[in-house]
Amino acid sequence: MRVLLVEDSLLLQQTVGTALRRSGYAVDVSGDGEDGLWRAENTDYDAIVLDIMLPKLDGLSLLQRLREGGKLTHVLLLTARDSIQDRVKGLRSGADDYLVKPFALEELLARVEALCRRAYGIKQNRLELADLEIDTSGKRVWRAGQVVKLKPREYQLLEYLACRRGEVVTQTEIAQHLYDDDSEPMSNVIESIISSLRHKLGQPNPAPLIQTRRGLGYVLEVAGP
Amino acid sequence: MTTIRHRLTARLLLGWTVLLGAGLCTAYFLTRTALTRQFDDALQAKAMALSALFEQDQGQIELELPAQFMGEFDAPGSTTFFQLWRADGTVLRRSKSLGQGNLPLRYGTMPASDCRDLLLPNGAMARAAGFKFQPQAIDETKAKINPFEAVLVMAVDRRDLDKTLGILALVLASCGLLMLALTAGTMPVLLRRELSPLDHLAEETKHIDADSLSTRFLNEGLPGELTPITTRLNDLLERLQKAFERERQFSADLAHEMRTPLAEIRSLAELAVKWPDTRNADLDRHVLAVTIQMECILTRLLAIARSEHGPVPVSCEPVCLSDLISMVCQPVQARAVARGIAIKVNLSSAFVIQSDPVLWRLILTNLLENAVEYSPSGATVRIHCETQADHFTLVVANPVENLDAADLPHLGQRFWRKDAARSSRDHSGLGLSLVRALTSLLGCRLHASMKDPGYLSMAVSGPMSHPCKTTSPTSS
Repeated sequence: MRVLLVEDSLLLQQTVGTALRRSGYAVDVSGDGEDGLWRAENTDYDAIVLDIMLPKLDGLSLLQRLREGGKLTHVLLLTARDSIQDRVKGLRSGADDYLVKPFALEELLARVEALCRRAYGIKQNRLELADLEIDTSGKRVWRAGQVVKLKPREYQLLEYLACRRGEVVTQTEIAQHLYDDDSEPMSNVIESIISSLRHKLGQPNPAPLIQTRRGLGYVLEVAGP
Repeated sequence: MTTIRHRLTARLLLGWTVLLGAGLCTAYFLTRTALTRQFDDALQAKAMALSALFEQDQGQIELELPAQFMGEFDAPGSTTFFQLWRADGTVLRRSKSLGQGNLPLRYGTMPASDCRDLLLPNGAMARAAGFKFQPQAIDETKAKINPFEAVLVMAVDRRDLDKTLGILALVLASCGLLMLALTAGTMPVLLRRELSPLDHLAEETKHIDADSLSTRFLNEGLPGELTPITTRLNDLLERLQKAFERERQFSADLAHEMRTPLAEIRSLAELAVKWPDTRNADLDRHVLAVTIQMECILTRLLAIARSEHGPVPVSCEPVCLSDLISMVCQPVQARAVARGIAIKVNLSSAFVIQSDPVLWRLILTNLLENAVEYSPSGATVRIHCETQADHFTLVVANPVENLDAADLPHLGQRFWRKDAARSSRDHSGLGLSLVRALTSLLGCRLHASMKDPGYLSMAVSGPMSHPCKTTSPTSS
């Protein structure tokens, strides 16, 4: 999952960015409204964490322009303004959630996770496909009742495919959702992760779950007879 | 609960009752007087006519009245009475209606125009008139022989008059009660209708709360008495609205100033707890910097609050401003040098004012820090002083960027910053607020001006000697 953090406080950029990355998100950080808007318009983020009082362009104007441009990315407003009027104004401007500073890091992570799930129409933190189970909160995976130990990137890729199960997902989309702007993945790194995933998921049950559509991408689904 | 309407109703009814009662009583007594006078006039005319009919003849009295006209006096149950005496009190004649009774002779000695009430021998009340007269002589030639004076008293039963007056009193009292009843019924309705704008105003006022301070009362259609009230209410609402907006803005600004650093510290701590390997000395230094910044905000806020609301001790001693500026410049100098900013002071060392050196040090520190911070690199900050009679003006002037004349009224407002995002962590927007509060304490005035665009002058003007209020051991 890829998240955009628009926040002018350097400390919060550092702490929230680190927390999100440690939780398995690819995170882009922006320090002002104009840059944040540009990034939000040009990248398909799964969620945006947006401060309201920003230099150059305030958060509410950014949000308004984003919605006017047709972008439906879920937005969590992160602000020091805590009055009812401010909350209502923020939510009516098109925000999906509102969190007042100071906040608990765990709460922020939980809300971002919920927003990312909502981006794919998922309401629970447990994804299931045949004998595959994924706990998106605990970042754990089971196949045929056995725990499958995955590396962070493998888990992120599997979760993304699971969120879009049944759909063909291109390598570009996978790269966009797994890596932030600061990362430059090698050309065959996606294939390598897919291969590793197939191997690990195949150990409890050899029935393949990640199908390849040649020239198109990958699909997470149970193979037909 | 006592209401204006109830009090007005009660007082108007009371007033109306008194006026109506007085009016009706006056009407009754005037009518009674007129009727009684009319009655008396008739009585006197009748007595005069009767006296003209008496004739004297050689010491005897004769009544020249046909018998049919005597019925008024002689018929049983007659209501008219007379009695005639010689001047010596010898009864000459009395009406048969009087029977054996007597009328009082003294009534015949009253002034001719007077009539009085009289209790008749039969127990009835009457009006009586009497006078002395000399009866005409039957023979004029013998008139001079034994002429005598006679006294006539005539009385008329007044029961008919009293009955008429009783009916009049009853009619007037009934009319009065009816009018009172009608008034009591209609007055509350009329008052309610006429006072309805007041009720409407009260109802509108009742619904105004902190969230509806933008409400304004319309003067159109209101009675003239209420217009000043609504005008004042509108003024009050406007002031309240502005005060609330200021407070909201202050709260929002304070929230931002305090919540963001708190969020930073909390997220740093939580990050270190959740992922201990992320902790490092840099983060600890950040925590320290944020804490110092919060402490600075709190200290300044407290200083402003104390200067605005509490009795602050102000000492009064000689203050050499040039020496004080030199002391204040030392800690600021490093920052000024780093930014290539020169500080030029044009102030005589002999210039001394009587004031509080501690408060002046705070004022100068804040003014100088602001000047160095907001001047563009390579600029010059100039400090000079002007004197006029017993007043002085200290000016700190410097070039500024991104500030125009429209911003001047905001300088000194708590937490005001040109940057709406309030991103800078180096400033809290409290320095000039503190300067404004402190100058006010010293009886001085802070004035910001931009004679030339991009060149800001902060002037503190005040008396050369501040009247000493109290001396604080902590301030020296």
